[in-house]
Amino acid sequence: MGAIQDKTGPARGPFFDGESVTRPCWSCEHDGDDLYNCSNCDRIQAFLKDTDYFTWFGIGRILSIDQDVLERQYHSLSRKFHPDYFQQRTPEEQAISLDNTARLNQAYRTLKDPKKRVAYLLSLIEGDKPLASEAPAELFEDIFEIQERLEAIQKSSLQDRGERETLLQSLKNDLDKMRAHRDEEERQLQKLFLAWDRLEENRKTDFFSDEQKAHLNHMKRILSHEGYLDRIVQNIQAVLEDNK
Amino acid sequence: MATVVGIDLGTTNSLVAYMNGDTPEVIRGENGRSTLPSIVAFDREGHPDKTLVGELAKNKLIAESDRTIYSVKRFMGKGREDLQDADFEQVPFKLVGGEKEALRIQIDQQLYTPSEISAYILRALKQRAEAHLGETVTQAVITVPAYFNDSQRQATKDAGRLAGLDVLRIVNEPTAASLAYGLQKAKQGIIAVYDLGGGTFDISILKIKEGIFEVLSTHGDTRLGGDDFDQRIVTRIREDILSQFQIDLFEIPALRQEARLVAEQVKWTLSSQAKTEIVLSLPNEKGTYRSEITRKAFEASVQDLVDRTTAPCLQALADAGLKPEAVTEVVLVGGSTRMPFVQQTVENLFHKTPHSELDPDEVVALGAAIQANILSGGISDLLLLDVTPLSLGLETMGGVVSKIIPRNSTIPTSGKEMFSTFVDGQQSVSMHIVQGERELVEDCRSLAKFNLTGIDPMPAGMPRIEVTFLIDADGILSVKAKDLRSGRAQSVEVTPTYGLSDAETEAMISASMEHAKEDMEKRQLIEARNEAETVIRHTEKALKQGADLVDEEECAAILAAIAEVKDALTREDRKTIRERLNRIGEVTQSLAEKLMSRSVKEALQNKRLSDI
Repeated sequence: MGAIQDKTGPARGPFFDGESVTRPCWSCEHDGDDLYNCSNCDRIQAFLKDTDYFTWFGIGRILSIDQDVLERQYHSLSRKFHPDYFQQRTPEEQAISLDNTARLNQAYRTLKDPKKRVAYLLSLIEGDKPLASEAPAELFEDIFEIQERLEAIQKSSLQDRGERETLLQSLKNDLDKMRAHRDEEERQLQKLFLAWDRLEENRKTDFFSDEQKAHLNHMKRILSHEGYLDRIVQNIQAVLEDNK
Repeated sequence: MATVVGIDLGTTNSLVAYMNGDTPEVIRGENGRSTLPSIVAFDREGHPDKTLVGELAKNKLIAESDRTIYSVKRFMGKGREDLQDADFEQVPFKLVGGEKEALRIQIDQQLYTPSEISAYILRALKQRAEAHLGETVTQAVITVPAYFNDSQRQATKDAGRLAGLDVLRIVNEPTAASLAYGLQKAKQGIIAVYDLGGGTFDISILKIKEGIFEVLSTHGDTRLGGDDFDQRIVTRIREDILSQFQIDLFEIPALRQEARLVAEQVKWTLSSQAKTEIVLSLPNEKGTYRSEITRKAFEASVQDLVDRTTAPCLQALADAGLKPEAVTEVVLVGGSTRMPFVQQTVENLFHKTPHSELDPDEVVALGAAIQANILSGGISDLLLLDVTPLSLGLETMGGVVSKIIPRNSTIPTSGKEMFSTFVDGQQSVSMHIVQGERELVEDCRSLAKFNLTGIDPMPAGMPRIEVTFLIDADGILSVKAKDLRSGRAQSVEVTPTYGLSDAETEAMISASMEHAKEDMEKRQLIEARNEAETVIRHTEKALKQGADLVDEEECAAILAAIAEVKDALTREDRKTIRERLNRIGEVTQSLAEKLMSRSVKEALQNKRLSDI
């Protein structure tokens, strides 16, 4: 696992830090401060380069996001961009409308889901690289046993009933344990969100503090367990289903 | 602004609607019915002008079963591999299609794609709308089942183009229905739309908030509908007739078709009555088959079909992250939801009495009309945010699917993927796109193969090509590629797996344009003929009335001009008819003026007389 590097710029986008941002319109070159619509020629404007999902939604790089706030902003931007409203406009405007909406929808899908949200934040900070998928170290032993039980039950068609029942019962306990672990990691993630947000909101410099970096690394570790735990839960469920 | 119409292109029936002021309205046919049976009958002599659509075609179902096409929607955008052998046996017309080829329907020596057949239906709806609105209709919104895949959507769009319609949007049927209900009620909340039509089943879960209709999830079965219920009754009739009369109705196409129509009727009757009688007269005076059927027995025979709608409903709820109790309203759409048994199943599933205030046959077309109005700049406070029903993926090593866009993503949406080369100097890379939820390529539906060409020769792994997959608001995929080193767009060749290539579609469209031109020529000829006959009649009458007003020379000229027109009418030459009609106008001008002034004088004299 790579260490978190200081690659981030200012955490706040042009929306909410009071700075007035202007942009030249692609069509009439008028400098306007309405980011998505030219006040001079009424043409739709594409998302600014070098802005990210967080800035589009008018939030900093924070992780505890109020779903209602997110939804409201999504609806309001959808009303600005949606291709339905550009059917009678020029091909250029239609193309921007389509591209903006596609990107907006992707952004909403990402930010709505807490895990996708962290993964996205990580990709902003560390660059686009696939997250590792690994087993939680504290569960190594359990997982090893679960694999053995799963294999045993596949081969156990000829075994006696009692042994089979015992195996199934153990697997049921395993399932509960894995689920409990998953829930626990989710709770931890929520706590980390809050801790991250507190630090991020009070950040004075352009760089992350060591504490923030530690939080990011912790969240990254939890994310890397997600796929693994999901797969084990699925495998156990499938076996239990088959042996009902 | 020209009206944009909303069209429900259904398996059994099709409808067209428009916004009349701020109310959506279905346009009725001359027979007063809102539904147009989705049936096309081809003429036995192969006369293209005599192709029948709708009720007229329905009358041919029995007598001309091999050339009367129904339920063509079931074959839209499909290939041989999408069907089972039973599908080929189930229809009395001939379906053909080789491996990896779009299915076609064979009438004599002519092959028609399902899109071409659908275009006949769309053209009839277009004409119906034009007659009602008194204007040319060129733009439309067409609905499709939410669970239609990319090829089926593309095939529907092609059908529109073939019919001379600019298809502004492909809208999902349940979503359209929710618009029609939403407009009526302007509610907030979670709506489940249960849409069981003639051939397809859809379930969509929507969240309505401040005019935004956001589809949270959708699921369905594009091979389940009323047709299948009819088939169960047909099976029963077949078995009975086989044992009682030793006749296999599947061997007599006309009888089989008749059995299907009787079954449909029986199904309808059983929605309001507890029992009915199946009556079918057998050919060659072999007697009449009669059998009583109760609603209970019918319901038992279709139980498994109705049960098949349950799993998609539960899946859609799970995908939306909701429990059935979270649903505030349930809306029924599609003719098959008239069955009490279906209504009961839905009620049990969602623990709510479903809505059916709007005619389940009309509600989709009404919603399409609303969407058409939004697109033409009318209503601006409603906005539909729909989703793609199936995940989009790429084939990777070992035939495993790598998902790029997950199902239930709000559309339009895009996904990006980086590509490079494996060998030094490699100049092209091919990709295989599939749609579906399974892990392996062989379990998903192949959509298309894309070929990236013209890559600059470089050591392996050096080229960096970014490929963007875009699903537009119609739910249709397009692919763009960019070479990140040079920044220039990379060409992408697309070979659809079953659908038609762009070239094939273009060829069909230009052929249909030629037909359209021929059709227009024919219409203009008929109009010219009608006008000529009227003018001749009027001129002859005028000549009698004003015999005293013309001299011999003038009279001869007029008679000659009439004879010329009559001569032109013996040939199919619109231009000559028109020219000679103009000639009549010229030679009768003086007579017309004289007649006019005489009638004015008479009128004035009459008036004076009456004044006295």
